[in-house]
Amino acid sequence: MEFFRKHKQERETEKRERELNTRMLVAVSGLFVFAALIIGRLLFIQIIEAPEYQARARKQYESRLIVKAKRGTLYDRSMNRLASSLTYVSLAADPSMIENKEEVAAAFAEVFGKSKAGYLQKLSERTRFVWLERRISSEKAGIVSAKKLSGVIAMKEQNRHYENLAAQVLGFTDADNTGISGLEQSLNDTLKGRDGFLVMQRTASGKAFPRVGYPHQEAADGKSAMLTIDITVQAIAEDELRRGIVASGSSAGTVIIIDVRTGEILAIANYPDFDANNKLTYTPEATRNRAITDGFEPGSTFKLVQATAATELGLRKADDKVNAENGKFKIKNRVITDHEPLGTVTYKQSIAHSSNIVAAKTAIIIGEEKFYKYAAGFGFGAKTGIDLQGEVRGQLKATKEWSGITLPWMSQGYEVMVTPLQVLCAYAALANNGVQMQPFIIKKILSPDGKVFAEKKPAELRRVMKPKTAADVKEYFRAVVDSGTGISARPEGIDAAGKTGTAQKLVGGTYKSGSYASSFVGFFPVDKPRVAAIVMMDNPTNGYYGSIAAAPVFSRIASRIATASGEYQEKIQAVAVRKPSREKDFLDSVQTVTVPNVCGLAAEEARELLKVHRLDFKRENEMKGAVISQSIKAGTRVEVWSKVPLMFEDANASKMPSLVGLKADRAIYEAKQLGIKVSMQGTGGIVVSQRPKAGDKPNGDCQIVMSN
Amino acid sequence: MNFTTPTYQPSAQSQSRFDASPFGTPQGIPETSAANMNSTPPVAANADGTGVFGRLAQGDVIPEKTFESVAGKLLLLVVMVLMCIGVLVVYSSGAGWGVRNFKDSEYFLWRQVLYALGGTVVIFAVGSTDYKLLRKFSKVILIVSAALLMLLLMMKAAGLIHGAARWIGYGRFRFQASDMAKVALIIHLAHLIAEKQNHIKDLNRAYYPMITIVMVIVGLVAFEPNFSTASVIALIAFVMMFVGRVSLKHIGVTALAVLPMAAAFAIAAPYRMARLLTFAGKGSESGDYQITQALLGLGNGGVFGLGPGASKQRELFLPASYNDFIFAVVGEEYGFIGATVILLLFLAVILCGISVAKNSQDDFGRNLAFGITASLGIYAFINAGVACHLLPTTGLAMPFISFGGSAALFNSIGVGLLLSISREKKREEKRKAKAAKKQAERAALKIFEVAEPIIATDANADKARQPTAAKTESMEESDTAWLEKLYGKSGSRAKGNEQPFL
Repeated sequence: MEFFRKHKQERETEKRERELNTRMLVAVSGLFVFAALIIGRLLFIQIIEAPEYQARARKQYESRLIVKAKRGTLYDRSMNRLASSLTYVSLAADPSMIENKEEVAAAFAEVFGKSKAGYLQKLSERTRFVWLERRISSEKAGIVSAKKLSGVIAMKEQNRHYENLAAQVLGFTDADNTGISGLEQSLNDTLKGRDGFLVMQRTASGKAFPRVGYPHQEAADGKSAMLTIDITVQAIAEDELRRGIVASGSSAGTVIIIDVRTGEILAIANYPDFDANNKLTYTPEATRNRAITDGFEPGSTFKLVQATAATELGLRKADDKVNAENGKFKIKNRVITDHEPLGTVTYKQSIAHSSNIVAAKTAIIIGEEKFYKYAAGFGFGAKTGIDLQGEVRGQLKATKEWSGITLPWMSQGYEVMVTPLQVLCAYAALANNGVQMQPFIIKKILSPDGKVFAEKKPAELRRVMKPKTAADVKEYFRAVVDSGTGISARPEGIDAAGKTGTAQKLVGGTYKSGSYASSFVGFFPVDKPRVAAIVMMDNPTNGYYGSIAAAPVFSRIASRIATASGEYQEKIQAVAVRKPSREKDFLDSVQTVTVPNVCGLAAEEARELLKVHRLDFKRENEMKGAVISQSIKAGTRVEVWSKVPLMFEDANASKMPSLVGLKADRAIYEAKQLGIKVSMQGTGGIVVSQRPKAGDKPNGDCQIVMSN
Repeated sequence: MNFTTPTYQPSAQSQSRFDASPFGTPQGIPETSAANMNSTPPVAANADGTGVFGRLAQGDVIPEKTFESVAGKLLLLVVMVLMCIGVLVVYSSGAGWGVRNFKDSEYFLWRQVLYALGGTVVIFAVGSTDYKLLRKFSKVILIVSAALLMLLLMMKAAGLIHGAARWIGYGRFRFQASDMAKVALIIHLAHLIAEKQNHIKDLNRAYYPMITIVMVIVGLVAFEPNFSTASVIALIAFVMMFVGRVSLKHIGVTALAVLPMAAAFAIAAPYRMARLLTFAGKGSESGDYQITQALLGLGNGGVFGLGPGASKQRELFLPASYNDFIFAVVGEEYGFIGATVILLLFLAVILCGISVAKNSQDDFGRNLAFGITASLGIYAFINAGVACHLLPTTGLAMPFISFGGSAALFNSIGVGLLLSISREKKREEKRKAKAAKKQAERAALKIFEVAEPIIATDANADKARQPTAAKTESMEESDTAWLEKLYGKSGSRAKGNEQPFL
C-alpha cells in the first residue's frame, strides 16, 4: 500500500513536471517567436526597404545649399562698374570641430576689431553651429579664410547692384539672379557662371548648417562684360535727356551716342527711366529700350538720303539754285508746306532751312529706284545688328508698294519707319567718310581673373557713299547747325553738323497735329568727326520743332562731352578747334554719380555699395543695425566721393518674425521664443495673417489668423 | 532551441526532487529551506539509467554543468554589456535633447552612468541576499505598492497631480509606482503559485485569489493612466500563471472577459485611439510622426548602421529617442547587425533566466525567476516591436538600454533576484555542509561517548573536518550519506552522477 502511494505520488510529480515543462517551453517559444518577428521586421526595414528609407531620411535632414556663383560684372569701357554683384560672406563655426578656440577667437578679434572674449563665448556654446560674423564684405572674409582656421564655415550670398546708368540697356535680374531683361538677359549664360553646392544638415528644430567634410562644389564665378558705354558720356546723356524732357514737356525721349569711327555705342539713355535697384519701378514703359525697339517716322532727318543720293549722282551741287516755291507746292494734289517759306535758294541753304519742297523735288529727280537704293544703303528697313535684344527693323517699303506720292513724302521722312539707332547710324556713316560701322555695345568678355576671354573689334558694315560725297554732304549739315534750323544744336566750343527732324505722329492711321516726334541727329567735330548723337523727343509740348525740343539737348551733350574729363573729352579736344570757356569747363568737369538706395543694408554692406558708386557715408547715429534712412535720396546725383549721411537702426530692438505660412503650434512656439503672447482666430491649421506684421516692433501680443 | 533542449531536459527532470517536497510537508505550511533540504533525493537522475552519462557519451550535448552553473554569471555579464550599450546609446541619442532642454549635451550621459552604476550595486546587493526572505514579505510589498498607486490616484483626484500620476517619491528620488507594483506583483504571484501548486487548478482556492490581486494592480496602474504598462503587467501575470500550471480554461475565460474591456479602455482616451489608428495605418500625420521617424532611423541605418554617434534622427527628429524609441537609434547607429545583437543579448538574458528558473531550488524561486525573466523579455521585445512598427506605440522602456532611473532600479532588483536564485544551490550546499559538519562533530563526539566506530560516518566526519577547500566533496559525501540512509544503496554511483550538476 505504501509502495503504491509512493508510486502514485511519483507519477503525479512526473505529470506536473511534464505539464510545467511544456508550458514553459510554450512561453519561451512565444518570446522567441516574438524576437524572430522583430528580426524579420528589421530585415524588411533595414535591408529590403533600406534604400527607400535612406532616400527619405536624406531628404529630411540633408539639403543641398546652392552656392550661387558670383555673377559677372558689367563694366563700362574704362572698367567702371555698371552692374555688380556684391558678395556678402557670413562666417560660422561648428564649435565641436574647432581645435584651437583661442586661435580662432584671436583671429576674428583681430580682423573685426571686436573683443576676443565675445568670440570665445560663442565658440564655447554646446551646439554644432554658431554664427561668428554675418554679412561681411568678401575682402574681410578673404582675410579670415587666408588664415585657414579649421572648423570655420563661410557662406556666401550676393545681391545685384546697379550704378543706375543705361538701365534699359543693362536690364535686370530676377530674385534668383537670372537676367530677365536687357544685357543681363542676353549675356545671362556668360555672366551667371556655374553654381556650386554645399550639403547642409538640417535638424528637426529647423536649423540647417553645412557640415565640415561633406561633399561640396565650389562655385565658378561668371565672366564679366566690358561694354562700349562710357560712364561719363552716359551720365551726361541721361542728365541732359532728363533736363530736355522737362524743358520740352515731352512724354518720352531717347539719346544715343556712338563713336562714328568704331561703331561703339557710348551711351543709350531712355526716358521714362527706372531705378534698377528698386524692382517696384520696373514698368514696361520704363524698361523699354526705345532706342532700338520703337519705330517712328523720322521727318527731316531723313533728308540725308536725298542729299546723299543727289550729291553722289551729281544731280545737285551746293550752289545749285533751287526754287522753294515760297513754302507751298502741290504734287499730285497733295500740298507740301515748308515751315519757313523760301524763294529761290541754293541747294545747301534749302537743307540748312529744311525745305520739304526742295527735298521732294530733288527726290523726284533722283527717281524711285535710286532713292530706295540709297535709303536701303543707309541701313533703313533692316536691323542694324547691334548686340542688344529686341531691335526692330522699322519699315522701308519696296518701290512696287509705293504710291505716286510716296517718293516726295518719303524724301521728307514720312511713309518710312525707323528707329533712333538707324538714323544715328546713317549720320555716323556720313561722319565716318561714308563708311558705316557695325554698331555694338559689348566690347570684351572678361574671365573672372580679369583676362580677356573675347573681344569685339570694330567692323565696317558697308560703304554708303564715296568719301567725296561724304565731304560735300557733311558741309550741308554743318550749315544746318551754323546757320540753319539746327542753330540751337550748336555746342559750346566745338563744330558740329546735324539735322533737325519734326514729324507729325501717325496716331490711329492719321497724322494728328499736336502730336510730334522731334529729333536732332548730328556729329562733331565736323572736320574729324568722332562722335555722333541723336536726341529724340516724343510728344514735346513746349514747342514741338526739333530745333526747340531736341537740338538744345544735343548742344549741351556735345559741349559737356567735349569738356568733361574722360576718354572722349581727350579724343574730341585733340581735334577741336575752339576752346570752351573756363567756367563751363570747371562745371562740366565735375563728375557726378547717382546715390544708390542703401536702406535696409548693414553698415558694412552700405559701405561696399557706396564704394561701387564712388561714394562714402557718415553716421548720423552710432547704432549697430541696418540703415533706416539716408539723408540724400536715392537717385540724386552728387559729386563723387560725397559722404551720404545715414541713420542706423538699433540692432537690439527685436523684430516680429514672419509667422505666416506656419502651422499653429510652430507659430506659437516661434512667438514664445521672443516672449510674445499669441491669440488665435480661425480654426485652420496654417497662419494666414499676423499682427503686428513681420519686421515690426513686437508689443508683447500677437494676433494670428488661421486658414479655414 | 536545439541549444536549450538538451540543457533543460535533464535538469528539468532533476527538478522533481524539489517538487516532491510539498508532498512530504503538510499543506499550507510555507516551504522552508529545511523542508527542501529534507526532500532532495536525486531520484530522477538515478531512475533514468541512461541519463546524463548516456547523453554525454553520445557526444552531442554541451555538458550541462557548464551552462547551469554559469547561468547566473552569464546573466550578469550580458546585463552588464547591455548597460554599457545603454550608456553609449543614451549619450548619443540624448545629447541633442540634453542641449535643447537642459543646455547640457551630457545631461543624459552622466545620469545614465549613475543609474548603471547604481543598478550594478543593487544587483550585487540583492544577489547576495536570500530571495526566500521575500516570501515572507511578498504580501506586505504588494500592499505597499498598491497603496502607493492608490495614493497617486487620490492625489490626482485631489488635483495635486495634473496629467498622468506615475511618479512617486521625494525630491530627486522618485520612481514610477508602476515599476514597483510590477516587481511586487511578480514576487507575490510567484509565492501564490508555489503555495497553491497542489490545488492550482481549483477556481475558488487558487484562481480567484490570484486573479483578484492581478486585476487590482493592473486596474490601479491603468487608471494612472498608464495603459501600456498595465497591459504588460497583466501579460506578465498571465504568462506566469500559465507556466505555473493554472487551468487553461480559467485563463481563457478571463482573457475572453478582459480583452473587450481592455479594448474599450484603449479607445477611451484619444491619444491611445490615435496610436492604434496610426498602427492600423490610418493615423493622423502628427500621430504618425514618431513612428515615421523611428522607421526612417532604422531604415537609414541599413545593415551596418551609420556608426556610433552618427545618428541623424537623434538631432531632435525622433522624440523620446533616448527612451521609448531608443531601439530606433540603436538600429540607426549600429544597423541591422547591431539591432539583432541587442535582441540576441535579450534572448541570452531569457535563456539564462530560464536556466536559473529551471535550476532553482524551490517552486517560489522558479516562479519568481521565470516571472522576472518574462518581464525583462517582454519589455525588451515590446519596445523593439514598437520601434519597428510591429506593435502600436506604447511608452515602454527597453530594460538596461533606455534612459531612466526608476526602470533601472527595478530591473536591477529583478536581475539581483535572479542572481540570488541562481546562487541558492550553493547557499543550500553551504548550509548542508554546515549541518553535515555539525552532525559529524556530533557523531565524533558520539564516538568518544559510545566508542562504537561507524565507518560511513567516520569517513564523513573526516571529510567534514577538512577546511573549506574540500567543501564540495564533503557535501557530496553528505548527499551520499542521505542516500544511504534513505535507500540503503551505495552512494558512489549517485556521487558520480551528481558531480556534473555542480
